[in-house]
Amino acid sequence: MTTLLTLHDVVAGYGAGDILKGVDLEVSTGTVTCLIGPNGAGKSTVLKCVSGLLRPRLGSVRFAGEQINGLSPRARLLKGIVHVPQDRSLFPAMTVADNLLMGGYALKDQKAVRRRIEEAAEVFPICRSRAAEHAGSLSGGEQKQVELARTLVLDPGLILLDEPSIGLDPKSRHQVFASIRTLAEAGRTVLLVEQNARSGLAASDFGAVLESGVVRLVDTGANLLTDPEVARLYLGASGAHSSPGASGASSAADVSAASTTSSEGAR
Amino acid sequence: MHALIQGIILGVLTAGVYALMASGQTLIFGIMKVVNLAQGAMVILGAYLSYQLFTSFGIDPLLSIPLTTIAMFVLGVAVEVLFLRPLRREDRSELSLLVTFAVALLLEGIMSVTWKTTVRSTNTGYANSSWTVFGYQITLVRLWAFLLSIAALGVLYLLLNRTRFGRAIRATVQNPESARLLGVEASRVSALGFGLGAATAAAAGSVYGLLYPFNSGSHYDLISRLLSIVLLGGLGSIGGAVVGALVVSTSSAIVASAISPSWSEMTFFVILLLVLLIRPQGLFGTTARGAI
Repeated sequence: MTTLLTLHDVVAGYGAGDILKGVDLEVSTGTVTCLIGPNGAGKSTVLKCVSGLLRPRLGSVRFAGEQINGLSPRARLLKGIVHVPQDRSLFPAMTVADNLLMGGYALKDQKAVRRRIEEAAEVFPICRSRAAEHAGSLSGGEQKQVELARTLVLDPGLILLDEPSIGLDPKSRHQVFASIRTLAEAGRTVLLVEQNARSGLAASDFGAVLESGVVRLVDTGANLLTDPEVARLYLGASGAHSSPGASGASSAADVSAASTTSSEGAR
Repeated sequence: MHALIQGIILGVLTAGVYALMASGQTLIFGIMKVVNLAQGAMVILGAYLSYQLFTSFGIDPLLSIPLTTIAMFVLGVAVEVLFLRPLRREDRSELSLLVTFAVALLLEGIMSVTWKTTVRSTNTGYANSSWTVFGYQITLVRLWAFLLSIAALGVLYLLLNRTRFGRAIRATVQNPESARLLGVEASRVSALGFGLGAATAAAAGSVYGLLYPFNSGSHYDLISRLLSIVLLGGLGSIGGAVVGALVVSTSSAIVASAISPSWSEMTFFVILLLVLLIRPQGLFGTTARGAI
């Protein structure tokens, strides 16, 4: 597998403070990687640094071998990086069809845009059956499917998904993770941020644990799901593997230590 | 009853012009979240330009609209680039209200120097022609003004709903961050959107000059009406601006013809206050994201 995205020692933040304090992360072509971690760890900030909504203060972001730190969001989009933000990103008063057309706004070849919309509708049939309806009238899960379909219009090299299951009911959440697997099976590369760590890791080939602005642990999604420390801290485990009285600080240290011994730690 | 129906006819015909003026105002707010206090001055400048083309070259104000809209579009883009864009860059957008007021004063000054403060009006050959239909009088100039305003609003509708640029504008209004992530350049949309708002002001100004006498200070009265219309209809909603203009014009005209002209202005403000008390976001406004 070739490396598509590399973040090296990335420091970034808003105002005077740093949210990311030296993030190192690699994402391989054709894989789904899930970033998990506590609130405020900087998961969404990582995605913003990749899509260009936020410029890193230090460090480098490389995509397909090219440093992209200085590029605008539009330039990164044209290179094939699509970012689906945490909030619902459809245009609610526009039809599903118009939302899909907006997915190809940056492209000049409108014939290609229409062809790709047809292809996206093959993967996400809702785009055809509800094409004339306002996006705001769809359920949360349906809107997420249209958002994912819209990303395909650009034929992206990398899809960044920020908390795709947030605010959804269990059935819609299931639909969203099934859709992410559909993207993975089609060979798409996805970097996913997910608060619902168990579902996110289950849908991913690889996972990374971000704490206090630093990546503490990288492994396969399956290994992280069975890692007792990760289970205790992020998967809502019963605590069977936790040591009594372990504090948050010592837990973080444990996770950090685990990262150095991970067989997939170089990823 | 006759006076009431006559008032309604007059109100509906006048509403078209106000709807056109207010659509530009609400479009600018929808895209940039800027309350453009210069919109009234831009309408008056449009009226002066078409007056000048009529008196100097004999071009009918209804025919000079393509010329005046192009000129005002360029002016609108220049205002956005020179005065409003630096505020966004410095994250000081809250000052845009003051800046657009300053632009209004600047335009007023330029108009005062160029055309003096004498009240002008564009008197075409058909200015006093009228038809009587079922006993109700319809002045030709108001009918033309109404039809032309509806046509201009139709062009605006098609531009927003049938073109790639229009889709980008609507997307920016509804979800700016998402639009940016899809490659829409916010600064370009803002500049062209402001230009489009100024162009609608020019078209409305040409029609306004046919209907009413004006001078460089007329924009104060206009801007208060325009702000009231867009507040009534809901900030950012073009459909709301049309309905707001209908409410303003018909209520004023009905009261003026059925009760007394001196009460007509107040009637509208009473309606505005009542609507805002019951529905603070206006008739078609949304509390969260807008839609045009």
